[in-house]
Amino acid sequence: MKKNILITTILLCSLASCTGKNEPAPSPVIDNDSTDTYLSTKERGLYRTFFKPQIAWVGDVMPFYDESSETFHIFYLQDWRPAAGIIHPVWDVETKDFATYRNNREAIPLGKNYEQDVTIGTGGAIRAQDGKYHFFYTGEMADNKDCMQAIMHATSDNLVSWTKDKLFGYMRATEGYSPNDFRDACTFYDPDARIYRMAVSTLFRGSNAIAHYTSSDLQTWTPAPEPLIKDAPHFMECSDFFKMGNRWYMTYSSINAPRCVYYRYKDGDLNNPYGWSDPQPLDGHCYYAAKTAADKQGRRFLCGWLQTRAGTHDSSDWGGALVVHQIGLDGAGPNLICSVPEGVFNKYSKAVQPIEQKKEYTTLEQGVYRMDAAAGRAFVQFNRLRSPMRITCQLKRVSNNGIFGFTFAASSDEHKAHHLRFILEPDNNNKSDLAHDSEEKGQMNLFNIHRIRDDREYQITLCIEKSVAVMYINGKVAFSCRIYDMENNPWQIFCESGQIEISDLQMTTY
Amino acid sequence: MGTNRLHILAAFLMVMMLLGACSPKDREHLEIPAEVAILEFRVGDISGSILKDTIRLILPRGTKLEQLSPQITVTQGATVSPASGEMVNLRNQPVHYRVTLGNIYQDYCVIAVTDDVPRPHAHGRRIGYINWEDTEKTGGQERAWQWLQTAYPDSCDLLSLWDIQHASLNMDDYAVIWYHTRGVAGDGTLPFRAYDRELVEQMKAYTNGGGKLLLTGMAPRWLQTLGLIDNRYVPNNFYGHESVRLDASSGFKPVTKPELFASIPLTEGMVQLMGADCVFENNTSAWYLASWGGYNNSVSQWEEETGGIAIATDIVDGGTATRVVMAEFPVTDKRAAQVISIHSGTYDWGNHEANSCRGAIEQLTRNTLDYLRNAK
Repeated sequence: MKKNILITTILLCSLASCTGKNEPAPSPVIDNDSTDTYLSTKERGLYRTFFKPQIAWVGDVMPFYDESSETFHIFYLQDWRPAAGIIHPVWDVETKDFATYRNNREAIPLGKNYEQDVTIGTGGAIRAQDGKYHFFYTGEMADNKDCMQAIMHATSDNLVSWTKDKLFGYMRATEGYSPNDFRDACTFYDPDARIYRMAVSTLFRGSNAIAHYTSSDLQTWTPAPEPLIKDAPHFMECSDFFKMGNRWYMTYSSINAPRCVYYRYKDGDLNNPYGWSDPQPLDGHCYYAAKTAADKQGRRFLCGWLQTRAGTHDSSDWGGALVVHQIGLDGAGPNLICSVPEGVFNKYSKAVQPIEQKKEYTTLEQGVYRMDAAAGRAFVQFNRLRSPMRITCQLKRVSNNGIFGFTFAASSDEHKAHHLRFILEPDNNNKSDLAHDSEEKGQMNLFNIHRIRDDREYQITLCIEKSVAVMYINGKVAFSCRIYDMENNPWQIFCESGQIEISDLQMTTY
Repeated sequence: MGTNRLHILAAFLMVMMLLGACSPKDREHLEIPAEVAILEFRVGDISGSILKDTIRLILPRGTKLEQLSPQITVTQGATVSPASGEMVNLRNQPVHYRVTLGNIYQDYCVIAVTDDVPRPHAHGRRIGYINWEDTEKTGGQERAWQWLQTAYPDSCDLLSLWDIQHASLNMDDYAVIWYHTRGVAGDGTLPFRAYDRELVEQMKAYTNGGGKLLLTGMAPRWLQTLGLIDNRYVPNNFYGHESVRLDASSGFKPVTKPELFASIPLTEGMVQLMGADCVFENNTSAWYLASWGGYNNSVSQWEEETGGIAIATDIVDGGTATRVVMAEFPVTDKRAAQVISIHSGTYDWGNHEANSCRGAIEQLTRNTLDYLRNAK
């Protein structure tokens, strides 16, 4: 009996050790390369988190949430590069969490060279009350001088096989709207009015506008008496409409330089083209063509592309990698905030040990870096950044005015370094910018962060994959940047004006 | 007296009581006034138009619609809410007012918009130079500023886009604002801040007020951004950020306005702006007039369609195409600002000390600034 008890005890102890409950956390990854010579990395192929297909790039994004499968279908324009004659079929990729993607396939191919959709532009999917899926998209035929752009229609029973609706033909601009600028249909159901609405990017008697059509069956569309919006300051591409709280919101991408994704909101109904708030940007100037979709829990996600940059590494400033932000109300609203999708944040789960290479005008005590730029640029430089990587930290602005942030591609060649720079100067007309710049390339991105300019503490999350870096601040502000050669070069936290403290610095990969 | 008579008497007494209850004195308190109304609704010197229950205000561009304190005149004895002089926000939204007199009221809906009506007014004599804070310092922006300070000591100021955006400058001090930039890309895209909505509003208010502009390098992009010319006729030939070295000097050919070329030697009718063997970026923002340019290679057609004056041209593509590379956009009933723009890539301050033709660039700039400062 005693022997049996002993054996049982031993077995039970072994079992306990196999359950992992008492196991120590896995040791963080340690990378001992402490050199700082500049390395240029040639990017190839697939992006797994900020989705980009193996071949080709992500163009305008048209997300759709399928309730029956609880899956997001990210429809997008497939940008082949070089794209001679292939501009651009609609492709699809599925995700449940914006962290992993599968089933990348063509959804709607281009038409024949005599058909209106010989070239395809943006649109979107909607599910009808009867369960059928509908896709309204832009058909563009440059040779059709009277109607270069029009709205076309396809249907599907399963979101996989799509059939173009030949009977629908194409829906051209009606009275007052421009037939050569008539694109990017956004179709949505208005639960208050119990009708389907279609928003089309266009001009109304020469002014920037969104055309307005209504339908009870998604087949026959009637022009509303007024546009959804007119006399707007920007030409509004890729518009999207949704309700949040008691307000209607629209997002759109401004084709006017510099490109940007904006939102506007209004009280009241959609029949009045006026009353929209001033446009507010949702990200910097490298993020574009973003539309939204919401899941069953009502969480809404903004899905757009982060541009590549024509030059040494890539060939185009249009299209790139998919970047997704979760959007929501700032408190009770009406302003919107952008935060990192939970799936993306959690994907980076393997700890990496940050290893210092050097520091200047910086002290480290009990895990807190203190930087004082009074005598010169303060910084701490870490070993080469490997992709993928998530960097999180708590950053405290000690001085009233400050210029600080992160430097990537930090090497012995300072000319090539890229800086993500906070510029917070209350004494200078409350200057409050986020900028991405380098000595070599100048300023590549800029975003006014007046929303958080009075904050003194910033919770920073940086999600990085290859040359994509998306920074989230206090769960409110997103700043997406393309930084070539960030991967495999050292990186820094710096302060060039004022004083800051950095605590709780963590690096994780997957 | 029988029962019927008693009933009649009671009814008579009741009627008398009712009539007595409505004595002349009491009737005075129920009297309805002839009118309860807003008689005038004014912001500064601008009176709104009152049509039934809607008041519409058209205010000068640059007016801060979110901080208006209207002066309101109402029927004698009436009150109005919000009160006269109370600050209200009329940006992108109507504000509802109620005029009350006794137990009678009248509601109004007030809408305010800004216009683009030119309202020129006096400006000072200073020259403002927009700095390069949001771009690289190369491209000669800093070099041009250094020259400006020596050419116009005590008469010029370095202006930041940020300060303009936040209206912390008195723009009326400036006869001319000069914007010279290499842009952020070879396609002429300006620094991001140059497109900011609030900044553009301030610059439009400056130009609507008669402030003049000199736009050089890639800054002619502002012709479109500030609405100074019709969108259909903006420059169509942008390229730059190159590294060019010429075998011989180059420049452009003056067509008109000889005062702008005073004291500049001409070589075979040409102003030479960039000397041989000097490396420059060739930042160009011209109008290409031939074939795809859409002007039938005709300067006069360009002038007719754009409303501009072609000051100088050059010839490209083996002599087949004309380009407008210096232009003036004069004051009209729709444009209060006089604008001169230089679009040639040879107008480059980047490698100024190595440029054997740098004297021509300096003289041309001086002549242009003086021309604008002295113009009425």
